[in-house]
Order: sequence, then C-alpha cells, then structure tokens
Amino acid sequence: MQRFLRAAIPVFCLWHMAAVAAYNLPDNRSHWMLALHNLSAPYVLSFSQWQKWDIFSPDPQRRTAVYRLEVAGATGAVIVKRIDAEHVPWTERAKELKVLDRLENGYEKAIPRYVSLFCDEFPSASGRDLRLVAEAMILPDTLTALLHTAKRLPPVSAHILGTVHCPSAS
Amino acid sequence: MNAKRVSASMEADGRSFWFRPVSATGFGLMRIGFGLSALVTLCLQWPNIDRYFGPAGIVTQEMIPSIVRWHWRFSILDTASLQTMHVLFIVLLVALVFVILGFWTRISLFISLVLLYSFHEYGTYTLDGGDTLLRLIGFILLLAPSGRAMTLPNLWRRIRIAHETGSDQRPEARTMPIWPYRLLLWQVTVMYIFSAIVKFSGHTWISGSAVAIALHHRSFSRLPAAWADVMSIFSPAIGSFTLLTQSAWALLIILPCFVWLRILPASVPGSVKRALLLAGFCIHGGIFLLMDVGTFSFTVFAAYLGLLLDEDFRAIRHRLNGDKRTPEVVLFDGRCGFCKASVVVLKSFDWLRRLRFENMYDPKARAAFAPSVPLKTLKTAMHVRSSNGTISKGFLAFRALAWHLPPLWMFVPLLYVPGVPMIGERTYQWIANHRM
Repeated sequence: MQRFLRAAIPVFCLWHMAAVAAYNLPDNRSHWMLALHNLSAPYVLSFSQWQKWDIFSPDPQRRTAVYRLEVAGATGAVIVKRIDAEHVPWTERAKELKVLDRLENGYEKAIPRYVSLFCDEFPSASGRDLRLVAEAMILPDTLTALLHTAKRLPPVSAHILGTVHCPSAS
Repeated sequence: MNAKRVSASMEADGRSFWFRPVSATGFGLMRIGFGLSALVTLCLQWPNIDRYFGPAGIVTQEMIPSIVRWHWRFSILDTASLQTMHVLFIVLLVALVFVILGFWTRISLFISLVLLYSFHEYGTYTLDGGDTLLRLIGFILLLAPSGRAMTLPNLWRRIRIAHETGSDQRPEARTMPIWPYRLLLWQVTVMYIFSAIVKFSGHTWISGSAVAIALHHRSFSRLPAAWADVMSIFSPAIGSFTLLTQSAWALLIILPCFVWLRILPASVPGSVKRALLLAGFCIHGGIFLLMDVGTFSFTVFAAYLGLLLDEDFRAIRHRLNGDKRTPEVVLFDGRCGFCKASVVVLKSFDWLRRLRFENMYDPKARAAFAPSVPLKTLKTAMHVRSSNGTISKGFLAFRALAWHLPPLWMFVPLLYVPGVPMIGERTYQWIANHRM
C-alpha cells in the first residue's frame, strides 16, 4: 500500500496542478488552450475547484450603483427601501451588493424573484407594482479626473431592473 | 552502473521532493484559519439564508437548471426543503467548529466541505473571491494530514501527560510530507500569476488609475468620496506594487530550478516567499481596511499560514526576537497539577520561544531569577521576571506574558481597559485559591 501511495500521490498532485493551471488559461484561448481547459473541466468542476481570478481585473468596475425599491402609485413612485452602503447593515452589505451586481450581470432571470420576496415586507406594496431601480454612475478612468471626483461627481442615471405586481393582502 | 546510480539519485530526489517531512504547524494553522473564515462568512449570512439558499429564495429549485451551470455539479440543496436546508446549515457550522478545534479532523473536514460545496453550488450568485479560495484550500486540507498539529486533543493529551508524569518537556514538532504544501503553493501561485496576467490585459493598472477607481466605488469602498480623492494620489504606486508582487510569485516556480541546478543557494526561494507573503499581507490588509469585499483578506491570510515551513517559523522568530534576547522567566508551582497544565498551555502558545519556565521550588532558580521574593510570596501566584528585570505576579504577570504569545495578541488591548485588571486579579486569586 505504501509503495502504491508513493507512486500515486505524485501522479495525483501533478494532475491536480495541471488541471488547475489549465482551467485558469485566459479566455481568448487558442485551440490547444481550449482543449486543455475542456480536459480539466470535468475534474475541476466536479470537485468545486472552479476559479477565476478576475477581481478588479482586467480593470476595476467603473460602473458603481446603488439600488432602491419603490412602489408605483397613482401620484408617482414611493421609495420603500434603499439598498446601499448607508442603509444595509455592515454585516450584510458586501454580500447583498454582490448579489445585486450579479443579478444585473448574468442572473437577470432571478430579478423578479428578488423583488417579489419584498412584497410581504411592505404593506404599501400590496396590490401594486414594486420595482427595483438601479442608480448608476460611471467613474472616470483617468487619475486626474478621479482625484476630483468628490467635487465633480459623474452623472447618475436611473433605470428599472425589474417590476413585479405584489398580490393584494387578503 | 552510472545509469543505475543516476536513476537511484533521481528516485531519491523525487521522493524527497514529494515526501520530505516538514512541519505540520502551518497546515494546522491554516485549518483553523479556514474554519474561522468559513464560520464567520456563514454566520454573517444567517439573516439571509432563506433568500440566498432556500428552495423558494431568490433562485428557486425550479430555476436552477436554467440559471446555474448544470454539468459536473452536485448540491444537496437542489432537492432539500427549507427545514432541511436549515438543518444542513447548522450541521455545517458545527462541523466547522470541530475543524477549528481539531476533533475528528478528516471526518469534520469532509462533512463541512460537502455541505460548503453544496451551499456554494446552489447560491453561486452570492459568491466572491473569498468563497472561491475557501473551497480550494478546504480541498487541500482534506487531502493533507491537517489534524496532526494545532488541535485541542493534542493539547489535552500533553496536559494529561504533564499532569501524570510531571514532565513538562516541549514535545517534538509534528510533521507531515511536503506534497500538500506543494499543492497549496501551486494554487496560490496560480491565483496571483493569472490575476496579474489579466490585469496586464487591461489599461487602468498600467496607467495607475485602477486603485483610485476601486477606492471610489460606492459598493466596495469604505472611504467617503473626498477621502478617496486624497488616497487616489497613491494609486499609481499601490497599483505598481500590486502588479509587481503578484507577478513575482512566478519566481517561486523558477528559482527552485536554479537551486536544483546548484546555481542559487537553497535559502533563496524561502526568502523570496517570505518577502511575497509580507507584501501580500500589506496589500490584503490594506484592502480589508479600505474596502468591504467580504472575508477575502482573511481567507488569503489563512492560505498564507499553510505556506509557512520550519525555516519560515525560524526566520520570523529571528526577525521578531533579534540576535540575542533575554527570555521572560516564568516561575511556577512545580507541585501543583493545575500549574503544570497551565505551563503546557503557555508553552503551546509560546510560538516565539521567548519564555523560560522554572520551578519555584528549585533554590537555584529562585536565587537566579527572583532572589528578593520569598518562597511564601512565590507560592501565592505565578511570577514572571521580564527581560528588563521587573517582576510581576498573578494577573499582571499574565498580562506581561500576553505580549509575547501570538495567539493572545488580539486580547492584549482588552487587558488594559479600566476595570479589567481588577476583575482579572480577583479571578486569578480565586483560581489560585482553588487550584489542585
């Protein structure tokens, strides 16, 4: 058994190391890079070793958004909840804002579900439209402009991410 | 004959490369760091677990096949009810506590990883870099003998032996084969090198504005806009430092080749690694202070702990202790079982090897380290003779020692809060009066 392990462990280690490296090969893959990636994917994905090291890469996200939930009424929209750094508890902030960022980028199908879960929280939304709005601005990418962002905030644009009609309270 | 000798030499080199014994302490510390990081991350999500992971949450079970990767994927949560999910969450938290303490390490790691992976594979939209790194180092911990060092059962066993035999010798360092370390080093190196490659493909890291953009981000940054403007002056320098240190991890693959070819001394890769770990500590520490990106920094620090070998611990001790350091002398009651057990605990915390333990009943020890303190006074409490010659006792002695014991460093400020010394002294006296 010892002899088997002394042979098997180095082989496994080399396989694991090669698979991890192959899985990380860049997106603009050549034919052989894609082949290596596809060879390693079943192992990497099955053992949840998938990874992509693109935090703040290739460039940090310049679009920065805060979110709000508003109930559409006859006289206009009424904001019922703000989801931003000031209004979400610090213990939940990072995750909740990450979730919203993901909902905008790749998980759009889940936006109505995200909004509908707030219907019960706000009685004023009963029987009305509840919508999720993102207020976003695009940060400049030059250092000289960034040095004066506090004085010259970029323009903010608001857009509706999703709307659900909350059921009436019975 | 020559071919046989070369083949035997290569086989010996290969065995040494994968199976050379190294200190298991680094991986023990990483195990604790992994458990703590995962535990904190999950506890912070407690208020939202129904939304994030529930069958009727933001992503429902019916939506999974159309939203999440379906191939080569497994998650218990795909078919779990809400109540089952709650039970699994609690089981995961309990398993992580067992991982931290080092009870049934392999089993508790296996259970915690199966559950952690299930939660991650279900709630992929909640994940960040820290969660990814947790999965990766957790896998390596499961393969490695990560329960050999830094466990409560080990400490308990040492206390029992000290109590039964009166022997208070520092035990031999526990070891493990080096191959798990090589897996971890490769993973961390891949993480940094590919991160650097991707950064070089953008333009803001090259132009120097990347850090400034991150500092102004309303979701991540802890700074008000005006402060971010000021800090942005340092953006080019910080960005360049980050790119340089991330790229430099490639040296840890290249330099060992030069060592093998006898071009460089064997100590060079270790020195480079320690420099990179220090740089990484500064970068990720800065990220934690200035930005809210979850527990990523702490998970990175946990991984760093696993990269520490014997020579690294020696180098850190040498750097912190200097060339010659007078030890802090602890005079304890050698006839008291509780006191001997306490000495075992202090020794296990004495990572910097700054303490020297002397039995107060040894007249030579009393004459050398506490000639002015009568034996009657020594019997009332533990006494510590600091390197500057001052003698303290009881709670104050404990507080003096805490400065030298890395596991207690985070508690040192608390020990000076008004009121705490008084409570500490009374507690110490009560324990001293009731000790066996």
